[in-house]
Amino acid sequence: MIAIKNKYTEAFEKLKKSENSAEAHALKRFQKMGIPNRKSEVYKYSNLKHFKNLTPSTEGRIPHKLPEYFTHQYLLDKHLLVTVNGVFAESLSSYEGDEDGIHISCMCDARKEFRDIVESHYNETSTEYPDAFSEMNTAFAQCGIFIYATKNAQAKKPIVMLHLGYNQPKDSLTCQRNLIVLEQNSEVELIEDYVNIDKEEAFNINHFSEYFIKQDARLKVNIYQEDSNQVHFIGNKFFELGKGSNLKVTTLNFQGEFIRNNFRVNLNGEHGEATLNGIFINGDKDHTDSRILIKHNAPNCESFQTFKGILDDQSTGVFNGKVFVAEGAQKTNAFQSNKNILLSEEATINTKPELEIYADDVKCSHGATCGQLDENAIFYAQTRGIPREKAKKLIVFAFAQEVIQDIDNELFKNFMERRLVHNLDLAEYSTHGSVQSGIKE
Amino acid sequence: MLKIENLKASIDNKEILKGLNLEVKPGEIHAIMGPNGTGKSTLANVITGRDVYEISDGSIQFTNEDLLELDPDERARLGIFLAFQYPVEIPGVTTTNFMKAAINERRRHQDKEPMKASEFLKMMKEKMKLVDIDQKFMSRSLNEGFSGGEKKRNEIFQMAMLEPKLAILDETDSGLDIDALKIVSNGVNQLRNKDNAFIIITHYQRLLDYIVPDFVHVMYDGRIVKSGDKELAKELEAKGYDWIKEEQAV
Repeated sequence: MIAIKNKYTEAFEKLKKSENSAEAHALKRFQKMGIPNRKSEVYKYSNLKHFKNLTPSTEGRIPHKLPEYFTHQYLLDKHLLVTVNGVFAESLSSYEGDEDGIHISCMCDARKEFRDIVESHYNETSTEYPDAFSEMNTAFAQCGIFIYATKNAQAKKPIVMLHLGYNQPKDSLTCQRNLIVLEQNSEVELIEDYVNIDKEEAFNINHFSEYFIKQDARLKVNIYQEDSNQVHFIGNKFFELGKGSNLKVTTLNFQGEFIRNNFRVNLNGEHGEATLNGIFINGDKDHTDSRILIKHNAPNCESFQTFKGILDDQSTGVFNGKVFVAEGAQKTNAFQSNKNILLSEEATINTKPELEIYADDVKCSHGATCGQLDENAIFYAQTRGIPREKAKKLIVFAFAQEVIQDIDNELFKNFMERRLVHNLDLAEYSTHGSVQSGIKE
Repeated sequence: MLKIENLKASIDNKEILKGLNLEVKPGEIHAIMGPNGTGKSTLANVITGRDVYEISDGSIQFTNEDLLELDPDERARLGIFLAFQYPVEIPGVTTTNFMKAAINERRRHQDKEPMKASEFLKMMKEKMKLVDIDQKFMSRSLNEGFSGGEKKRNEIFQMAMLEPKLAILDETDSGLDIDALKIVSNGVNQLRNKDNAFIIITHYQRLLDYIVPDFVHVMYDGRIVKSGDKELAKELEAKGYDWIKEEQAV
């Protein structure tokens, strides 16, 4: 235990933060908690042993040499923000500063230029439910991305956040930290893409983003990660929603070795609406764990969760979605669904939908299913001449499509469809022509 | 074309087909009638290759191939089609994509290139007309939320698209109103020619007013116990099945 504490303390000393800094306090809180073990209810089905051996990176700058490609083809017109090992890489990014009232910068600059905004929002979401990884992140946060949409601002283009992992030491953990604030009636669309440049290299991330969506503001977030052999990812994403605001998050995880997504949504004002959708496809020994907490703190809010899992080989999955309805949050409408397909007898899914309700005039529904593919459907397809294996893929594709069809951005949706076709080896049935994806091929 | 000899099939150790014989030649329409639970649907499933049945004896030859050795999709690509009694809903797969997969799979096995999009669309339109099915169904999930009649029409549409040598219609008439029945029958009648054949499984003589069979067989207790022409169907309609049961009991 002492040895572990020392490892973090030693690393922290390199950052040269004062003893009374917020970072130092966060470190203390983290050290007290330590990396959670299997006894922790919150991480019951996710083994964090791997993270015990990692030390937070204090490198603080982007590597000198980088491969010379960064052209993702799924969106031509975009603001592109690139981070490398958690650090905002200005030189690789291309965006128009201050366009349409949207300010983009690294966190370090924001602390100076947008001091009041940062101070009144940064780390505000982490106090309600302390989490070891968010505390560790606060202590060791790299200089990440700051996005600030002023009142009535409308981003004309989606903002793509391309998070690259490159040349990380095997035993280091990147603490990436972002802050996104949308003022009243503003609108932003984000695409967050995680890419390990060398798939065989280590890709260890402790990601923490906070999103503030003020009155009548609208935020869309599409999160995408694919085929990162060595990825070990802990993502805390906390959302605070004001009156009449709208949030839609879609998470797509294709074959990640260890993914833990932790979403927390607070609906704090009346008529707020939050939609969280997700799909993962796992093979080998991949593990994907989605934990969602949506808190209805105000009346007349709506929330929708649709999460799906496709599990093959010896892969595992966890879904724990909870809807909390506070006292007085009348006329709440909450819907939650988790569906899983197990393609192998050795795959496992643990699913636990939860409701906790302290108001009496609410409409809440939840449900979870896990099962094999429908043999009737497979036979039906076979009687049309489609071989059994292809029939299965076609059905799995359709199962996943439901989540992808609900993505609003047409270009991103089409890109995701192609990735799905690629992942299921269904190219010949694609309605979108040849599969092309830029750097992922 | 199809030759079934002494076919015995069981499910969960219960024998359903108990030595069935049937021969179907190109250009023929055979109707199979009989009371509930006599094995009519089992016969359809066994011909198409559903693997829940155990075949203990007998053989099925189709165009000189031993069908029992083949997977359901191989049988389908040889030209056997089953219009399901209860068509399966497949959420997320549109009828268009389903048909595209089916047709291109068959072409792939014939070493042909996938069908051109324009050619495929033209074919779709033509066949849609045949069963008076609306374009909007093509882009909806297969059979999902379709009414009983729409599902049956969709079966006939798929049959028209795949142009089978032998089509088996398993109680396609059940649950259809008279207009839908006419549309379905019309579809079948337009598709029939001297080279293909149909097996029509039905409870009622009604469908046979529109699709005139060359042979009518009565199935009872896992066997074909009586065969005749279309007049037999009328006799069954008038007298019911009890006299068949009595005959068998003797």
